[in-house]
Amino acid sequence: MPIRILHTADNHIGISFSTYPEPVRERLLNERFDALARLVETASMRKAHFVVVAGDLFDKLSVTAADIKRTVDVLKRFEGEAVLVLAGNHDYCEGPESKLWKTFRKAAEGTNVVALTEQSVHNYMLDEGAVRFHACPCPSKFGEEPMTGWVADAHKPEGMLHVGIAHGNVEGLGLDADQRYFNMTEAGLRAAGVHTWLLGHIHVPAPDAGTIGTPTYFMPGIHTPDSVRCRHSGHAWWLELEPDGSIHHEQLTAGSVRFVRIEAVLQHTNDLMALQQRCNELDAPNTVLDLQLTGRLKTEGMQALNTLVDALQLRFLHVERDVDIAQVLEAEAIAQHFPEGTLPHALLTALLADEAHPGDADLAFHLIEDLTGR
Amino acid sequence: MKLISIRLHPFGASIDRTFTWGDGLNVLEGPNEFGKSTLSHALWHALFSPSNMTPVKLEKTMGRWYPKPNGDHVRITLRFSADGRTWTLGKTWGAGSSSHLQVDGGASMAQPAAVQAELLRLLRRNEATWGRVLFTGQAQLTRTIAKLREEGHSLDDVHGLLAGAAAIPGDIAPDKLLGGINDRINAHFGRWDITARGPEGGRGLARMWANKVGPVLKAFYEKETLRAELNRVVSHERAVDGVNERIARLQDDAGKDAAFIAEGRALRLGLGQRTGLEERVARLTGSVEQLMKITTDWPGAEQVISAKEQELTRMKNTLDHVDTELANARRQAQAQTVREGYKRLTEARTAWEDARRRLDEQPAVDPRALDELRQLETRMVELGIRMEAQKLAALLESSDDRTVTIQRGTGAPENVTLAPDSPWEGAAAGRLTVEVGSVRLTVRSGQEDVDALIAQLNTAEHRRTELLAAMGRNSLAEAETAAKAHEEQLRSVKSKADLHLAALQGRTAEEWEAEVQALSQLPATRDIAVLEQEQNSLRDIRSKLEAEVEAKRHEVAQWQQAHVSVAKLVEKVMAEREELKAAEQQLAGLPALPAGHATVNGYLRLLTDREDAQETSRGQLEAARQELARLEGGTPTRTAEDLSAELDLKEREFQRRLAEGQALLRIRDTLETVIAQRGNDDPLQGLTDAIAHRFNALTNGRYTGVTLDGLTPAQVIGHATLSSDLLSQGALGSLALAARLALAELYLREDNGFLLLDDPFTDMDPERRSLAMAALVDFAAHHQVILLTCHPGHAEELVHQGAQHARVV
Repeated sequence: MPIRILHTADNHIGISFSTYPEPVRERLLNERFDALARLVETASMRKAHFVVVAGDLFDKLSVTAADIKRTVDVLKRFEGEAVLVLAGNHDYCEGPESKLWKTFRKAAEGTNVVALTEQSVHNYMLDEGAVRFHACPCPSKFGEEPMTGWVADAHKPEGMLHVGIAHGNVEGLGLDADQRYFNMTEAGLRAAGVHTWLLGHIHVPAPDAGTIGTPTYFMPGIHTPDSVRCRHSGHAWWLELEPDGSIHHEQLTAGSVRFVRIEAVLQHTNDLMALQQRCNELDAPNTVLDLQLTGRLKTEGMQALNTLVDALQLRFLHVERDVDIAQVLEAEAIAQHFPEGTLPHALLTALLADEAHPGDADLAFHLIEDLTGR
Repeated sequence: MKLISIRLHPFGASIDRTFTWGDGLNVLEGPNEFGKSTLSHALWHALFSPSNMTPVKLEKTMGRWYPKPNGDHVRITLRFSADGRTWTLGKTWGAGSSSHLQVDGGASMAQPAAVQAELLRLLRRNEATWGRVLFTGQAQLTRTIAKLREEGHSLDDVHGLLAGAAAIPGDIAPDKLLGGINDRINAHFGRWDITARGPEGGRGLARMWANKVGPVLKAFYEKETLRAELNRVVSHERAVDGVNERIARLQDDAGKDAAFIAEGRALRLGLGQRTGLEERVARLTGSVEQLMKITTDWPGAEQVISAKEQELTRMKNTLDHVDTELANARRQAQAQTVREGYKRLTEARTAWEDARRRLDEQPAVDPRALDELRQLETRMVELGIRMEAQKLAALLESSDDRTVTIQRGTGAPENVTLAPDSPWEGAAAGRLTVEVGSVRLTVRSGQEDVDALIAQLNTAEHRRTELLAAMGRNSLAEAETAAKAHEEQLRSVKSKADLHLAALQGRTAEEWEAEVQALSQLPATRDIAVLEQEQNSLRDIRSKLEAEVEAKRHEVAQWQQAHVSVAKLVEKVMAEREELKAAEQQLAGLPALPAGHATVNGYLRLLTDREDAQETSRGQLEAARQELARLEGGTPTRTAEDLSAELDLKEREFQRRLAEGQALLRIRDTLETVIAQRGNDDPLQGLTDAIAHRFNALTNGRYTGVTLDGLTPAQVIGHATLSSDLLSQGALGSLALAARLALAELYLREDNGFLLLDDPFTDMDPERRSLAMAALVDFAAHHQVILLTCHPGHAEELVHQGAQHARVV
């Protein structure tokens, strides 16, 4: 029988979402807990032995005591052997006096929730076999060296499964160009001599879903999206470790809120329709929509766009928009407002001919309107 | 808007008075005090002064019109037609202030701002246009040109009102459009240096501009403020990391030393005792060894001393022999010197004796005889010279061969042979005697007594011969040489005698001989250097032996003093051995020095050092924790990730603002190009023509044209072109009236409004006034004109001008 682990990370409890209006913010804050609760419930339901949180359970050291307690309340509902919570680089443990982790331990006292805040090994003897976890917590937010170096030299009794838990960037997986986040390499992880690594830090899952074999490491990705930078729906890994070290893995989905950025170039009414179609395909009440719109539209196109955005705002959880669309002034509109031969007509016509700057004519038009008090 | 009536109840001096007007020219004529200016002001305030002014502004604006002495309000009711309907406007300022505007049959509005907005709509033109064109106060006509120059920009634009090809409705003046765009650009780039692409004067966040900041700079400041916050947050996070790292390192250090210190503290007492015991054992060991040696040495000490003393005696004898040989060697070295001195003495004596012998061989010359001989020589030379002076020349000839004897001077007789062809020719000093046979011929010089000279000469010569003979010398020179040689030999004898004396060196020759004799008896020796080396070596050995003997004697004395006797010493050794054994047994029972440490003291020193270091680390740890607490107290509310995301937005916003500014700059460039391409087409030509036309009529054809600067007539064209500033007061009034009527024609074209003038003809001469009245009557044919005057003649003249619509109110 395999040892069953639910592996999550980067939950970022306590992220502020301060740029969102209050009702949206509250929904997003609660989603961090709710998605975690769903994972814990899944783990219990599937009879997992362990829930492993591979760092960044919390977004920052200054997370409130209330949020810590609420988080522990969620985790301690796990019915398995233990919830192993590693200190990541956002919720790093600077030492025994760490305020966050003291609060966490106090809240977790008498529960099966274990804080992994020091380089240490944790042994569990189960009916299904023995497993030793090698914990590699972060002692700071930034670090040039990985925290996993000691594991290669650590004693690894035979007959046990050895699982490393660490947090940081993996070369080739993330974009930590200046290597500030405890950069690890796949070769280094492999050389450590454990059966697999349960990692955190990168918000994108790895390996790709459906990968077969026994990967060197697992990266679950964020458990529920926190911004438009997260393009997936929030995941965790379900892992079954056989005594021979082989691993069956399954990607779980936990998030119920999506952040979707739509980048569109609008030049025709058809583009607007396509935009509307894309929006219609989304789960609007649970989606924060981020519209990044560029292009050029005529007056009626702009009006239609505004109408569309107004409608989207009513349907979606939240709509952010970054609109950089040049309103195209039409020659007919110019003639309608300024008879041929007038200076405004000549100016607007000349501006309209500048294809490289389609919005200039419209800007000038409004400028003239302001000046003439029309 | 066309006025129907106005009621002042009260306003100024009018408690309740109503004026009514009709179409065309309405002339209100009355004396100065009848209130025409009051009426003009009342009409202006009714149209443009809101009833809800602040108390200060109310007092300033309306206070003068409160009825005297105790009036607290003014009220006006104005009826007019506009938009094809009739309106009633009521305004009260001061106590009970209110506004209401009601169209006949319609609802009334009472909100002052709304009333004012509606009035402005009905008036169609802005307040400036009404004030500068359509309302002409008393004595203001001639100020028209100046006012247009100063405030023409604030009037309603006339371009759209101008008729004809150059005045297309909807057009806008280039300068106005360009000015508007420039205003917008300036506002958009407010405090932004387009060239430097940054805030004016480089004023960043530390010294931000507060006023006239445009959208570009505002977005820039917002972006940079956020960036600064992001940098602060990142710095804070790094600072926290740094302190945490320090804390971890200090804790690690403390942990590493903790075990060592704990072990060391447990061992410290035992190791301290071990140190004392080890020292004691070492001391006892040394002491026993030393006593054992004394025990061995003491019994044979006297024998050692005796042997050394015997050796010392032998050494002294040897040294005495060496000393004697060395003395002889040194005397031998001295004998060589004596011999050389004796040799030099012998040689000096021989040289002295040789010199004396040579002196004997060189007899002395009598100095007095030598001196006389020198005088004779001198005398004879002198006499000879005198004889030479008496020289005689003789020629002896003979006709046959014959021998004659001649004697010249004091000379000896000479035989001279003569022949017929061989005469004798010669000279003689003083006297010549020729003797032939028995014949003797003596010839004497006649100058001096030659015979006497000769006699003296002979005497001197005789004496010289005597003297030389006495000296045994042949000549004075020989005598002189002999005298000199004798003198030199004398000096040589003296010199050799001195050398001999010096060679004696203060001793006698006998003493020298005795010493040389003694030296030849000395024995042979070795070389001095060899002997000196041997002597020194022997002396060293002697000294060493003496010191050893002394030391040994002293040692024995000390032993005796310290230990009394050998037997007592043996007892002492036994006692110390027992003590040493006990100390070694006690040492074996103490804790051992941990491995890797050479000495207890070294170990304890290391322990103390690490304890000190641990104490220091604790202090540093405490300081680091305090620093961490301080940093955590200032933890930013937002994370770097939040701020980074927001910074992206701010950056985009800034770029948008910048792009908008660039668009404005392009629009301006395009506008300037369009204006340049349009050439010199003057959209105000219609207005120019209208003013010129009216000015031509008002000046009875004296001026045919004008040029405008904006809306202001800048020049008039007649026989010559003149600046409008140079016109006479009357001509300026005509030009002002022409401009007002032309502009009013434009402004009132789309609406049948009114024109108000308060005594406009005051400064005009009769001819100009007549022409002005004709123009006004002509204008009034199409528009309502209200003319106020205090000149009855002016009113009558207007009627006389045939103003069909003129009425005297």
